[in-house]
Order: sequence, then C-alpha cells, then structure tokens
Amino acid sequence: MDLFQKAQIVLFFWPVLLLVLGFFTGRLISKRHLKRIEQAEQELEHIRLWTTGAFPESLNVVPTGENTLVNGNVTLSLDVFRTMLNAFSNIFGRNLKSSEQLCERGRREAIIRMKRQAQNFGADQILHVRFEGYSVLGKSGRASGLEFLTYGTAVKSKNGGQNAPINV
Amino acid sequence: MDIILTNTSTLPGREVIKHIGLVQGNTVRTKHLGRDIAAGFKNLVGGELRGYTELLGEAREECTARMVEEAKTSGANAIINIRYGTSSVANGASELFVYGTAVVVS
Repeated sequence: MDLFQKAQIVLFFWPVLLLVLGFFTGRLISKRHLKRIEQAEQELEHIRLWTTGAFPESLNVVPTGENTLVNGNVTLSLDVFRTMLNAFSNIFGRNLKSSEQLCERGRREAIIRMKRQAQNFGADQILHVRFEGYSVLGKSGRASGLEFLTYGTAVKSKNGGQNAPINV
Repeated sequence: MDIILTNTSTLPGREVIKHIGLVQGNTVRTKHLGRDIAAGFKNLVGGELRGYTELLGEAREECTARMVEEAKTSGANAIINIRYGTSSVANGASELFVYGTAVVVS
C-alpha cells in the first residue's frame, strides 16, 4: 500500500475519525470536569445556599448588613459524537443522557463560581439563588454551546450560620 | 459611595427608606471570528467554551455598570430585586439586560 492509497483511506474515513476522537475526548473531559467539581464543592461546603429571599426567623441568622450580588456563569458544549447521537435520538425520542449530564455539570460549575465570588467577599450565606439557562448561537444558527448562569445575594452573617441547616 | 446590589426583595440587616424607581441596563454583544473558530473546534471535542464564558461575563458586568450609573444619577444607594435576562438578537449576537428597583436604604 503506497502513500497515495493511505491518504485516500484517511480522506474517506475522516468523519469517522472525528466521531471516534469526539467519543473519547468528550468522555475524558466530562470525567475530569466532574472530578474538579466534586473537589471544589467540598472546599466551598461552608457557604450556604437559599432560594428564599430572607432567612427563616426560627433559625436566628443575624445578618451584618453587608450584602452584594454574586453570579457565576459557564458555557459548555458537547462533543461531535454525542451531538450526532442526540440528533439521531430525536427520531425515537428518549432521554438524552449526555445532555442531562451536561446541564448538571454546567449548573454545578456555575454554583461553584458564584460561591467563589461570595468567598472572596467574605460571605457565608447566599440568598435568593436563581438559575438561568441559555443557548449561545453559533455562526450557522445552530446551538454551539449552552450557557448556565446562576446569581444570588451574598450575605455576611454574625453567627456564621451555625444554626442554619446544611444545604444540599 | 458604592451602590449595594442584591436580588432579594428586602436587604438583610437594613431598612428601605425611599423608593426611587426602576433602573435597567442592556448591552448587545457579538463574538469575533477567532472565538467562533475556537468554539467550533471545541464543538468537536467537547468541553468549556472559555471565550464565550468570558464574553458573556464581561457583557453582564457592563450592563450592570450601566444600571448602576443610572441609579447613581437618580440618587439611590442600593438596587434591590435585580433580575438578569438574555435574548438572542441575531445569529451570533446576544442581548444581555439587567433590571432592578433603585432605593435608598439606611
């Protein structure tokens, strides 16, 4: 087999090669991302999240009056293999597991970035946490990435939220 | 004097004394070609699109700054109940807007 024939084979199979590449890189990237997320979540466990606008009175959280808006955002994208697989799944209709995981990772990462901002501010509670999802459009008009935004009000409390329940 | 920003309807540990009104800021941004190419490559292998993350983050900071400017000129010292919104204007361009209630707090 000479060089010309080899080049022909590569030219013929390059979409398949891309799919195989996407399959492995996508899996590797999501695994490593999940590991990083778990580490950071343990690190930032002491900051408590509330979706309510105020602390319940029964818990006696005393705010110092220092508040600020914090937000975290991240844009993630699926690899070419999983994008193709999802396109084919549209025919039968089923749970898109890879997209579900992508959304979960995106939201957790956004929370971590928001918590980092709150930590820099010196807050230990975040009130009124809200999520937003939005698809970033690529040049061709297809969704080329998903943005995940989360924001809330970082609050410093006097008793360090010791009476507050553990957030999930 | 810095303006306090919160997205809660009351300020924990402070009292609202005067209502000023609604303030808002918006910005429309588009990505440049280099970032689009990088994002296209990332679409093959998967992973975070850092260029877009930064771009949207910066755009959000800018529209927040515009809102804060509006609140400052009207004499407020805090903005409560802030909401973010995003919409796509055209292919590749997105509008980010932020709005809230300007108030005077103790």
